Amino acid sequence: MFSLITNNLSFAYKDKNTIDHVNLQIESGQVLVILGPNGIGKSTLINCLSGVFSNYQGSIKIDNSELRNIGSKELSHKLALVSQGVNINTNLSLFDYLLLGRSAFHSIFSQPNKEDEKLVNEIITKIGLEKLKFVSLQNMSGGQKQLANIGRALVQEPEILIMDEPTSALDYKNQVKVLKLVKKLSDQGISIIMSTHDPNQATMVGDFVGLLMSDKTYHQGSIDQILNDEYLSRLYQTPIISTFNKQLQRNVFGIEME
Amino acid sequence: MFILLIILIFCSMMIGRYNLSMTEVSKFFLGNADSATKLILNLRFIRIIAVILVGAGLSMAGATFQSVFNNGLASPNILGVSTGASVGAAIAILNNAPIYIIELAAFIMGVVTVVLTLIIDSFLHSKSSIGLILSGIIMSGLMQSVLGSVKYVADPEDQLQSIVYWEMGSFMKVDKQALYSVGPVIVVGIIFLLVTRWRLNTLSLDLATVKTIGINPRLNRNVMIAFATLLTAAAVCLCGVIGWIGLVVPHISRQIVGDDNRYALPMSAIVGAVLLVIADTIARSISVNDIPLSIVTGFIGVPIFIFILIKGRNLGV
Repeated sequence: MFSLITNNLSFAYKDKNTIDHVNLQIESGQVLVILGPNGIGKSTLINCLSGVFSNYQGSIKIDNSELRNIGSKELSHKLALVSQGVNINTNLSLFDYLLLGRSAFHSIFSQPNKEDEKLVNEIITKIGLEKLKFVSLQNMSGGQKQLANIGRALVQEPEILIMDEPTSALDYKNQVKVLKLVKKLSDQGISIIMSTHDPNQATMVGDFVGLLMSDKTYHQGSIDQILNDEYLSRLYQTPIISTFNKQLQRNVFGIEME
Repeated sequence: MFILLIILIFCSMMIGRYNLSMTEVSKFFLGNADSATKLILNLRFIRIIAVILVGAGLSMAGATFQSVFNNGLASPNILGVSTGASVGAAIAILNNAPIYIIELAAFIMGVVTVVLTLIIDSFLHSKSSIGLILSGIIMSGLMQSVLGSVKYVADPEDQLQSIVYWEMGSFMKVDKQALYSVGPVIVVGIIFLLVTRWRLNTLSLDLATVKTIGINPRLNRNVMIAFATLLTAAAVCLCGVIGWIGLVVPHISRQIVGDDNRYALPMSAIVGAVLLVIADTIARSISVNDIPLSIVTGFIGVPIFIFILIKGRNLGV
């Protein structure tokens, strides 16, 4: 059973705490959606959780071992980061790009083997980009790049995907594509933490929601517990009247109910 | 491409101030040429081997820099490595140092320059890769001034001549001893970059992603930069600064085989060797005296680079 639990996780940037005493937890196959207004520290939190920033305070326990003590190779097998896909700047083809997810499984002197290539082909089918296998990422749309990015993370065969605003630069159709994939992956037992500033997405795919408030407090709970007018108005510091209907939202987007 | 290189070696052996026939060159390789032609061809052969090593080395260094910095404009010259290395060589020449000290000095100054370029870049906080190019221009400018000062105090009888020779690039002075002392360094650099070439693909991604893929980005990057710098410095020791090859050849190679470094890097080595053999053959046979190689590579490199730019290659800038 996979688990990621933080205890009083804080991160200071230039002596100013950007995130403060965050206690979050997630287990196998769960989807945790982190909500918060722009500039509140969502990306900082993502970077801490994925091991990019290792000088955090407090603790991040993955399967009961402290994140910063896990070797980089082992860690890459446990968790994979999906950064914002529109920022990928590479001329590599989709296939070659996905293959990079196997880097940690080889020494610096070796080349990818047949098994790696087989796995990459499987993942390309999973993300539904078979037709673009040999197309350069430079010539792909934002949505395709984002799917490619998720694919590259999946090639690491991780237990958890940590996604930084995976839908922020995408149009509606591509948002749905990515969210459907998220749902599918969690059904297959992969845990997912994703940040977004759209509360609708939490209702669509989230099992749990984490709110990063402007007073630096963090609240985590199920959608019914936490996605109410009071919390949302506090979160975005603007009056919000929600008309959420979990069932309706998922049907509108064609995302099947559990 | 490889066969083209072999044919070129053959042709290049024939061409020179004293042209030889194909049979004479074949005889040389079979080991039964007469002593006069043997002498000429021996010299030519050593020179061509040096040219091939430098052409392949500089091109691979350029391809490596371009991948590591994910920037199509990165090259040994633009990052200031070449100028830095020639400053090192010039200072060593000024002190009448032996060849291996000149090599070492060139390497150290090459590394110092590239490190300073990277430090300046980190201060610029530039989001695009233009910051790196600017830093390279700044460091090249500084190293040019240092080089100017060294030239100013150098003995015009012999030292100044050797320094100017470094600056323009030429294989005229390459002999057996020079090739034997620098050649192995270039070979080691080429082999290292060849066996690690897949890792270059990973390193062309952003640092955060590289880290979560499970690769130490800084360590890997620095190792790659060190070897590319070593290649550049060794090339500078052998024949001075040669422009354009390190910038243009990787682009030509990627046009041919695509951006995957598993193919682009070996292709760069061969294309670089081919181009430089052509350039050097022109340089040594077009007039009575050897003309500096950078002149020839400039004339070849500029039109090619313009062509690549027009074809709309993404340079990552």
